[in-house]
Amino acid sequence: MKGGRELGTHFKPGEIIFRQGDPARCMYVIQKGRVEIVMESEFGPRHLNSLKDGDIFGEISLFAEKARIATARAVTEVRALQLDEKTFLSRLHQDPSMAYRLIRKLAQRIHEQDHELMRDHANEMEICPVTGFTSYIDLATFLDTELKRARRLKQTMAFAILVVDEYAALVEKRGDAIGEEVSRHLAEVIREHVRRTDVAGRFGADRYGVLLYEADGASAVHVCEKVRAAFAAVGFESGAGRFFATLTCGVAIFPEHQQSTSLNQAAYRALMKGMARGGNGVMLAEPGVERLRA
Amino acid sequence: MKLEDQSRVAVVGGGPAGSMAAYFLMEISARVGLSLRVDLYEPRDFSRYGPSGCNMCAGVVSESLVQTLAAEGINLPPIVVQRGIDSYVLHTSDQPPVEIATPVDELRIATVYRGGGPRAPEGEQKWISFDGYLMEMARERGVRVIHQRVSELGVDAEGRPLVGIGKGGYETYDLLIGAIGVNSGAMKLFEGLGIAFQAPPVKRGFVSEIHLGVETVQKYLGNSMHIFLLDIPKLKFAAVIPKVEYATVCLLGEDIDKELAERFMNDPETQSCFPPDLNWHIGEKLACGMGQACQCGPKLNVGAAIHPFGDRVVLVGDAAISRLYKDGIGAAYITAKAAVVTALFFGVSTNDFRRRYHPVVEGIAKDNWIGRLIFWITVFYQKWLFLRRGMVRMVRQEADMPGERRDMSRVLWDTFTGSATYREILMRAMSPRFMLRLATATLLAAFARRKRK
Repeated sequence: MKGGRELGTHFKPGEIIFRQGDPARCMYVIQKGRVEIVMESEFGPRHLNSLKDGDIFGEISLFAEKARIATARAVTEVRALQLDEKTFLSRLHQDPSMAYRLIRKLAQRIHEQDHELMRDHANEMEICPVTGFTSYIDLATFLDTELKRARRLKQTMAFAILVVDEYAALVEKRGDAIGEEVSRHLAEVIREHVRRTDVAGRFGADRYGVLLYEADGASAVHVCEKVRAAFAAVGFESGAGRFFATLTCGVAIFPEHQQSTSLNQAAYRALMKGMARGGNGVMLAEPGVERLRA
Repeated sequence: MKLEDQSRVAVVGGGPAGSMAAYFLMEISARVGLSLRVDLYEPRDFSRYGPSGCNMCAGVVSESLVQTLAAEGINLPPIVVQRGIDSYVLHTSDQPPVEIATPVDELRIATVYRGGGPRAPEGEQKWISFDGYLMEMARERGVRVIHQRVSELGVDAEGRPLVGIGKGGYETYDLLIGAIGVNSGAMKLFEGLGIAFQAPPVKRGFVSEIHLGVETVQKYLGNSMHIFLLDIPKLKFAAVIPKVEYATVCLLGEDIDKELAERFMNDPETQSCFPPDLNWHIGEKLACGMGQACQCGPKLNVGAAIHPFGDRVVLVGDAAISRLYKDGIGAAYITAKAAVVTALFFGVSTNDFRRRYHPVVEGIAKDNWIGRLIFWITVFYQKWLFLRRGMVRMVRQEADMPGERRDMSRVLWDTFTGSATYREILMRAMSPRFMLRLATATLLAAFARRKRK
């Protein structure tokens, strides 16, 4: 552009700024306009991000891959300024405080994309009409994804399996409607005690799974113990009179158990142990050791 | 000696070094949950046209600084940018001018007005001052801007700096940041503080603003900086820099006097950058129309200050050091940032600044020594025709090469735009490939000439 007072390079709407796989030697700062980031894969293209004035893109190539991992395309008229890898990285090493803004932007982006991931899962998942929880199969897949994330972010995570004690006998004695009411109440109790970001699923008539983010053994047992106590305190009315229900819970912790299957199995073993001790308790699985907590 | 919550900081001088120091003090302290009270003293009003709001500077924000500021989240808006620069044109006394474009085709250098500019815009395009823009950013961050001239500096019984403005008495601070320019009278106040500070050595330069109008600037200068390697003694660096309506002529070297300025302006090569009907006269100051709107002979920093720090005192920007002949704003950013990081995370004692801040200043000083060597070499190119021919030939050959192989273009680009350290430039110029290609080009140029004869 002649006589330009806007810095950087101009791109027309629809123009490709860089293409996935291109070699990368710079990142971009948007001076003006909107840019979209699209990733191509064997499953077709997928829109990853929409960016606007002041946003940074192409930064991943400066730190990780040396080729563009996605395509950047101008949505509107765009002015983007290139930040040379060499200029940026040498300044960064002279003055690390420069990294702060970039780290903040990256953190925000991870946060946004995690939320997107959660939303996508919610859309795809089968929901139990009684409890509003996801089904077992979805929870298991979800567990896989979330373990990867926890590994990446070096966070802990707890997986708890909860079982209503003697549920089959209860339904046989008092009927399906009462069984559903017990399930609904348990769901309520679980929702009350876990954080909004934690995820619960129902698998099978009497079984529930709960994913507790950033929880270690002690805090997970503490939460499950509160759920157990609260549930045990709920009184139910039926034709055969007032009664109480109890639950048994097994808890396993990542990273003590690394894979989703081993995490699941450890929680299940703890649960079995709890049931063998008469139920109505919370058991924590530890690598090799399982202790009774209640 | 550390800054604590509610500590008070005085920044004296509201140029780029001062405003950036104040801005980063607020920005970085907020990141770690520290609340500071920062006062910025600056008597001038950068929104005013003419000399009263001027900072006497060529007004070029270098490629590396444009990028670094963008990474810091400071994107210069078009209202501040007088013109984006994507190339420069190298003029020599006898060779045709050569244009050298940025390694990537991009407007990546910004020309700005440090003050309001020589006069109000005559055309439709408006602009605001670069210094004013930075100061406003600091103000938005919570810095208190005090439009008063600092008349006295002192130290109280507990060793805390005192800042006095006229009859207004003293304010006590926990840290005093001196961000005064080399043309400022306040330099003496800092020298009198008893921290063994001595102002940096200066030389007189020459800056002239010539009004041409938007179209004429575009036609004669375009989006290029025009650099001159003319055989004029004592002239180290000469540039004509396009602004919205003006061309800024900037001469640096051994003390530039009127004769030298006239000799430069009357050189045929210089005149080729201006319309033929331009009448330029030294000392002339037109109120409107085409011609010189103002000129000045500002002092320019050409070395490092001695001991630019003490207990609870630190000097940044030109008062500490500048980069030789260019990118003074870049040096202001680097020193301001280094002083702020030292004060916030290490402490404000002489020792803290010596350990953490001084090495940054020294780094620039060392690089300037390499710069002196490079400018010493360019003198030979100014003097000797056969060297110039070789250089121009090499640049010509590079026109069709891919970016990374344009060795000479890159060396010249970095030397004249301040985009790389002088050390990097020297390393590049000492590479065997560069030497060999330059020697070949020089020999071939000489040989081709003999044949034509």
